[in-house]
Amino acid sequence: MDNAGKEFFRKKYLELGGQISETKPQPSLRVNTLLTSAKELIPRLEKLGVKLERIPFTKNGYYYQSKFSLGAITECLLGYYYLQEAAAQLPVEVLDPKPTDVVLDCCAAPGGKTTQLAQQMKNQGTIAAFELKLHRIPSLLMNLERCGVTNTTAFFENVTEAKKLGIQFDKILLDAPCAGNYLTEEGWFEKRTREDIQKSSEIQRRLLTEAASLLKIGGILVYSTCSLEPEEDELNIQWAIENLPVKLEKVNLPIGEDGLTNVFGRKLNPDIALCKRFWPPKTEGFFIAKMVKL
Amino acid sequence: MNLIEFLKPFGIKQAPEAQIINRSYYIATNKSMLSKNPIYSGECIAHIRGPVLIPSITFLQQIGKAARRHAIVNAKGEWLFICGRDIFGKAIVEHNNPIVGDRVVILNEHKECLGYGDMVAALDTKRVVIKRLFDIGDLLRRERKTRKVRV
Repeated sequence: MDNAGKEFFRKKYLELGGQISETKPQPSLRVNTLLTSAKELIPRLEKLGVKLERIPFTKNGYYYQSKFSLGAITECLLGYYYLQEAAAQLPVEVLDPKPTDVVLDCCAAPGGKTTQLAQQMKNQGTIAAFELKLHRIPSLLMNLERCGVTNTTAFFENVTEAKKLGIQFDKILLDAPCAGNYLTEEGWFEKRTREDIQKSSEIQRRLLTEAASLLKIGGILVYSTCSLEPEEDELNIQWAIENLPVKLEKVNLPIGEDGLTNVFGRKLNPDIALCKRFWPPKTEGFFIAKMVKL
Repeated sequence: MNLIEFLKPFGIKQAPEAQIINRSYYIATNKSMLSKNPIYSGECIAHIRGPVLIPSITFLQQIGKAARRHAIVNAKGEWLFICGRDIFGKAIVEHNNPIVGDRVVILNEHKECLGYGDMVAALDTKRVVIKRLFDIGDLLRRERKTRKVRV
């Protein structure tokens, strides 16, 4: 197949200035400051033999090395931390929700970013969380409960139904469903085709349109994917600034590369350089854009 | 079973006023969103499971503090308990004199509540002394069970 497979993606990434990394990023966790503090948790995990190292570009993130799974021990079950990749901790930090904000989480399950929103808002303000996929609902509910989230109301519905709430949100997180990347899924190269990515991109544009309509003027929309495909990242943002009442703001992070402004010979709006793109292996593949509603 | 009946065996007489959403009890719900059919709102405190209730992890911590009878277990007992096992007498490092038939909350050495069970034998015996009724590992088992059903 000339529109799928490792060679197809290798060539594609080379053209974009990236490459395929065989090294996986270090696993990481986020300390849940709603229920504990790093000062209490870190020595406790170290006593169990877990090696931890602060992730310098996140507020509450730590890389870890452990001989046993950190997904089933008491500290995890009590919600003291959330296993979350370093780059995945960044969209909420970029959105920077405040305890007085009314926030919409468009595609909430499994709840990593929803629980992080609640944490950053100190369980105050309001979060409306929407999730469309039934099989992802148990994880969302389990994580909200485990992490002690109390400022969230969750709905098993498409975010297009959020208009029934009659709210213009201060901030919206759209961590869009995407094609993913080769580091997060075994056999990813064989499973994805150009057509899959195109379909995914169309869904993301619909979600962007919906999110923009639910945002109040001057409100902030953060769009993120764990995809390296420009069709789901820069090209969608180019489409958004051409078709929606939004403008880009700088994603102020000390890591990541500027968003691509030249994709396969197509020159994009120079503002797209304000976005951030993350090539593995320092983190998993990721993309973040920050927009303000006009 | 309602919340008051659920809390009674722990020696807790008062129950919070809660709202039922999708077979779970919630407090501090977002009143303005309740009419829009949410699946979660505010603070989850318990779930209806067949004829009984099971507490949320945060509500379990409150029960752990307020319950009449407790037993503190060592690290090995803690691990076995959260994997769904009963408590053996030798795992208990401290207690406040529960007697057979008491509902006992199980704490770890950090005084965090891991679950509860019913005392079935004297604590100084080598056999099972507390029969597990609920532990925090249930949360993971619940999620895995749902995944299996989907497959």
